[in-house]
Amino acid sequence: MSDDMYLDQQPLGAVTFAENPEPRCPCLLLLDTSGSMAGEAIAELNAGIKSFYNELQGDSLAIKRVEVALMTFGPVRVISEFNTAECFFDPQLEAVGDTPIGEAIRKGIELIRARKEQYRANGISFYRPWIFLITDGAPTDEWQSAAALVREGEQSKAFAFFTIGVNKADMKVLKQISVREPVKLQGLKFREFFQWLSNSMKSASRSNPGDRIQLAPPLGWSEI
Amino acid sequence: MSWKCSASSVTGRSHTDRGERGQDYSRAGTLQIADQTFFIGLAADGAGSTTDGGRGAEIACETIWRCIIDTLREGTDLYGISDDRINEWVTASRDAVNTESESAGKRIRDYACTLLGAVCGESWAVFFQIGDGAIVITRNSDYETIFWPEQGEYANTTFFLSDEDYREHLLIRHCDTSPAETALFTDGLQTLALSFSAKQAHAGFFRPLFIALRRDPGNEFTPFSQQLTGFLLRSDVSARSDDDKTLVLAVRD
Repeated sequence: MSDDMYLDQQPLGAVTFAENPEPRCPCLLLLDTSGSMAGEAIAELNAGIKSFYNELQGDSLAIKRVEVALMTFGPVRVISEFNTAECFFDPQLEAVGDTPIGEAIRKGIELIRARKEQYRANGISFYRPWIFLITDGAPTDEWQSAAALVREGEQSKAFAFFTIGVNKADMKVLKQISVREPVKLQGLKFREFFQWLSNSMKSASRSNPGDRIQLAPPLGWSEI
Repeated sequence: MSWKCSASSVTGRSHTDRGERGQDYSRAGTLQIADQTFFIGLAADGAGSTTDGGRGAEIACETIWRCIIDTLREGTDLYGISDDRINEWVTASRDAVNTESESAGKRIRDYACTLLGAVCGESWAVFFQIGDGAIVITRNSDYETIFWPEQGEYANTTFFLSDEDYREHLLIRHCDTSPAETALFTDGLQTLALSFSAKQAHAGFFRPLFIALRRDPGNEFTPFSQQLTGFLLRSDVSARSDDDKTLVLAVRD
């Protein structure tokens, strides 16, 4: 078949597309696994994370674009580096230790910085990272320097930092850490929270240049 | 010398799903002045988060179109088109957008759009751009991007004509030859037409399109732009990008 016939039969059919890595939508979860979370709270948190992963895995774009990293405190540990939903596993977190929020934030911000470097080095475009800090207590370490890093990062749009208080969380301190208003979780509605988060990540991972990413109001899981 | 050119803008699924109008706009044509022919190609992409980005794109293109034609009619040789003159075109188009936004009681950023332009003469060409999208030309049978898409730090941010500091993001390039082939496209086609890891234009995208335009008999009943529109709406194209898409093509004999 000649080139001409091909073009006649299937106009512009021979066009091929460049292969490009999907843009990434990173989200870091800083999770309180101190002793006070033991029992129902940690069980509900684990169930919530599991449903969060399932939701993202069921979405054809989110599975390729959304990257989640898990860090727990205390002690501060990276449970999972940034990974797309294909690589998610059931973390089965346990509640032990104290509440070093300051250290968790500092290490979390460093993790984000390193990930951005990797994206840039590999020509991968990305959305502004989100950090969610979830705690039921108050910092047991120095947190003021971490709060300064959060303010700095928010100002330079290096990331967006959100705080969620559970049970008897010290909302006053959370307010000093986060530029954005902390939100109080209604009871132990972790599953509802993660459902909301996966919806927000799905829509963020679809946004195009010029779109402003707006989070849906935190309905169904927060105390307002 | 003769030119063939064509342009098409289609609405992406991200807009049609919500019943919204497309926000891309394009304009392409050739102009004969005395014994010289010129190709003018323009494309603009209204910002997705705005109410009137599509209108901004239209006003910007139409205003700059008239500015370019006026400049060429003055008899200014393309050699003589300075960066200052291009700045004047762009500022005039921003002023026109501003006038409309003010009379509608809105802010200019409600009309935010990117801007891509090419003016090619017989032995000279100028290109300009604010924001993302790209212009690709052939040079020695290779495909070359005039500017790599100007993106902000994040995948959903870029620069707009409506920005206060639009002049800082206005990119201008002069070429002392006229490209045999020129393509302008908005960001909806970026990931299909450009390889980001290799940072170069994807030849497999452009070659068949330019060949098809060259071979097009120029039938007014089935203009090439119809084929182009059909291509931009093809399912394998929209599967890769749900954004609005604009493609302007020109070939020179």
